[in-house]
This record gives sequence, structure tokens and C-alpha cells, in this order.
Amino acid sequence: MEELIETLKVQIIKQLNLEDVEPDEIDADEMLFDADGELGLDSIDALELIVLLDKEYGIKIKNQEEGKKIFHSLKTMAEFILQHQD
Amino acid sequence: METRAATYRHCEIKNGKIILNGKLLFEKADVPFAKFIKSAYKHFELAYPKFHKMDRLCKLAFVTANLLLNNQLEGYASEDIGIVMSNSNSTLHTDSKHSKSIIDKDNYFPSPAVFVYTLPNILVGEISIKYKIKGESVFFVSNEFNKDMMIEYSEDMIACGDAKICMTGWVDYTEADYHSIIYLIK
Repeated sequence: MEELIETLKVQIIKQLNLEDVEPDEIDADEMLFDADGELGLDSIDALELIVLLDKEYGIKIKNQEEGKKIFHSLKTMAEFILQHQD
Repeated sequence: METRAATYRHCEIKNGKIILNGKLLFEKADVPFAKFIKSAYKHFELAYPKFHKMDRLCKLAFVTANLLLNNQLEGYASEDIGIVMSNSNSTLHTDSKHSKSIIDKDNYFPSPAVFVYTLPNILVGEISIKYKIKGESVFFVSNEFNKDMMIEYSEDMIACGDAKICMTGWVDYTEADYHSIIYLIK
């Protein structure tokens, strides 16, 4: 789990072009789409995360409500990947 | 032609140089565009995280507009600020990048963050978001920069009451070259 979270941090920084963000600065429990959050992610970033899950882990997300729960934080993303990987 | 508004400020970026009203502000020659524009962004401490997500055309427009505007819009209502822009190559660089991501049907992962930059008026949008501009805007694609026409169009917008201040100019990017020049007219 911890290893996956660290991998996700690097992948998210690359996929979302968060050039000013270091992996250590992302808290695994922090809300990814908090309007006042450090990352400042928007709706396009949410789409990029869906592409990331598909491209890197072969997991497709089609339900918007499901996406909200999965992308709540890095930890919830990692948990979802572990549950759904073959 | 009678001039009804005054062009009182302009910023230009080309050949590794940033020039404001004829004065050299920043120079970093002989480096690729990506490195040049990032150096300028850091040099002028623009501090706008979304800058890194922009495509190269928007980065060029964003830095040019930032240096041009620098507190110049104070006192103007969001609805009174117009933007009239043009270029020659539209979003060709990003179009090509997007095309490469969808050409292989077995490795088909188009990027939403790339796709949104496949219309040239996105650069007007990026400037508008940063400065909360809600006025009239238009984007022309033409072979050459027609400065007279662009200024006349902006002056007409002001004369008609569609804007009280207007940014107008040219922002063009290809892998081989780049050039931006934006005028502020009021």
C-alpha cells in the first residue's frame, strides 16, 4: 500500500504537470479536490486521473459518483487500485 | 485613419528576449522555448501553479500578458476589458501532440489536459481566468500579423462601448519559432 501511494504521487505529478509539487508534499489522506487545497486540482485533472487509472492500471471508471469516492485522496485511490487489479 | 483610442503600452517576446515598450526586460538566448519561458516565469516570480499545465502557446501568451498588464487593469470593470488576438499557426503544436496520442488504436489514451488546448482562443481564456476578464473577445487566424486591422478592431470595440480597455496582438508558436506582441489600448 505505502509503495503504491509513493508510485501514485510520482505518476500524478507527471500526469497533471504539477511541476512545483514534490512527492513528499502530498499527504496521502489529504482531499485531492479541495478548493482550498495545496494541489489546486480542477475538473480536467479529474479526467486525467481517470486516464491514469486506465493507462497505468487497466481500470476503467464510468460512474461519476464512484469517481468522487475513489479520488477523495491518494489513500482511497490506492485502496481502489489494490481492490480492482487483476 | 482617425485614431480614436491610444495605444500606450506593448510587450513583445521573440528570439529569447522580452521587451516592454521597447525596453529589454529579460534575455535568455540560445535555449529551447520551454526552458526560456520557464526561466522568465521564475525570473518575474509569476507564481501561478496552473502555468505549468498550459501548452506552449498559452505559456507564451500568459507571460506576455502578465508583463504587459502589471496593475494596468485597476479601476476597470471585468466586463469592460476586451481581448482581440490573432496568430498564424493556431494550436498546431498541441494539435499534433493530441493527434499522436490517438493515432495508435491499441494505445489510445487521449489526454483531456492536452485536448483543451486544441483551440486557439484558449489563450484568451487563460488570460481571462487570471485577470477575471469578462468582456468581449475574438481570435483571428491569418497568415501575417495585421497590426493596423487589429488595433482598428479594438478601437471600434471601445468606440462602440463594448470595452473601455482592450488587449490586442499576436501570439504564435511552432516548434521552429515563436513570437508574441500584445498592445494595450484604451
